[in-house]
Amino acid sequence: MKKYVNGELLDMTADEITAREAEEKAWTDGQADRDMAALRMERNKRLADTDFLAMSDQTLSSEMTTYRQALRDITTSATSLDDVTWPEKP
Amino acid sequence: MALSKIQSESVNLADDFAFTGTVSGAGAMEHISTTDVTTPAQFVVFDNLSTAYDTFVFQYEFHPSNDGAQFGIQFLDSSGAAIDDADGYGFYNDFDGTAISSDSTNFIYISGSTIGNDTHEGLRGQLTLLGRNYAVATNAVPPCVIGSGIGHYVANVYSGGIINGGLNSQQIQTIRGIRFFTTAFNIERGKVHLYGIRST
Repeated sequence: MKKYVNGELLDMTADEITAREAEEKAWTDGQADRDMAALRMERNKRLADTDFLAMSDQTLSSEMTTYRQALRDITTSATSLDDVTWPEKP
Repeated sequence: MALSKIQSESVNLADDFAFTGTVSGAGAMEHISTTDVTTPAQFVVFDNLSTAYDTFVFQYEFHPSNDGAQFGIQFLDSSGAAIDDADGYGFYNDFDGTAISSDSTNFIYISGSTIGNDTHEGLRGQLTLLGRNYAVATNAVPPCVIGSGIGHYVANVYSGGIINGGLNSQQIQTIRGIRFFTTAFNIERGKVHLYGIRST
C-alpha cells in the first residue's frame, strides 16, 4: 500500500496497513447500517412533507393515514434506497 | 515593472509581461504546492503544515480506484499521527438538499454519497482549513474545515454540497496536518493544489 506525503510517494508501514485494512473492513461491514440510515432519512423527509396535515386543527383523510403508515412501515419491506418502492402520495 | 515606470512610459498592451513580484503580508494567499497523484495510493497526506500560515486552502480532484467509496479527511495531531478516534470529529454536510451530520465520528466526510470510478466520475472540491496554529485553552474553536464539493457519483448522478467539520469536544488539541482518503480502496489519481494564507 502507498501514500503520498507532501507530494512524495511512500510505502505505508506494516502498522499503517493493518490499521487501514481494519478501517476498510469496518466500512464494508457497515454498509447495511448506512443503507438503512439513508432509507430512514428519506422516509422521515417524506413524512415531514405531510406533517402539517396531521396537526390538531386538521382532519387526516384515510388515504393520507394509510400513506403515512406505509412510510413508517417501509423499513420492513426495503433495506436501502436501491430496493425501495415508495407508496404513492394521495 | 515599477508603478513609476509605468507612469512614465506608454505601455503596449500587445506585449507579454511576466509578473515576477512576490505577494506577501497578512491576507495574501500563496501557492505552496501541487501534488499529482499518478500512482494509486491509500492516503494523500499534508504533514508539517507551516506555522507561517494559520489558514490553508486545498483545491482537490480525486478519482477512486473502485465504485462505492466515499471520501473523507482526518487531521494529524502534533506528533503527525492521524486522529482516528471514534469521537474525533463532528461535521455537518448538506449534499443535494440532504443533511449528513454526526457529532461523534472518526473522520469528516467530504462527499455526500458513494463516488463512482467511471472515466468522468470522481470528486472535486475546495476546503479551507482554519486553525492550523490553534492553541488549547485560548477561547477559540479548535481546528476545522469549511468548503464545498461536487462529484459524479455511482450511476452517473451529479451531486454537490457544502462541507463543515472539525475536532469535537473530546479531541481538543493542536494539529499539524491533514490527510485525504477514501473509505475503502485507493485514490487512483488526483491532484491537490495547496495554498496558505498568512494571518500576520
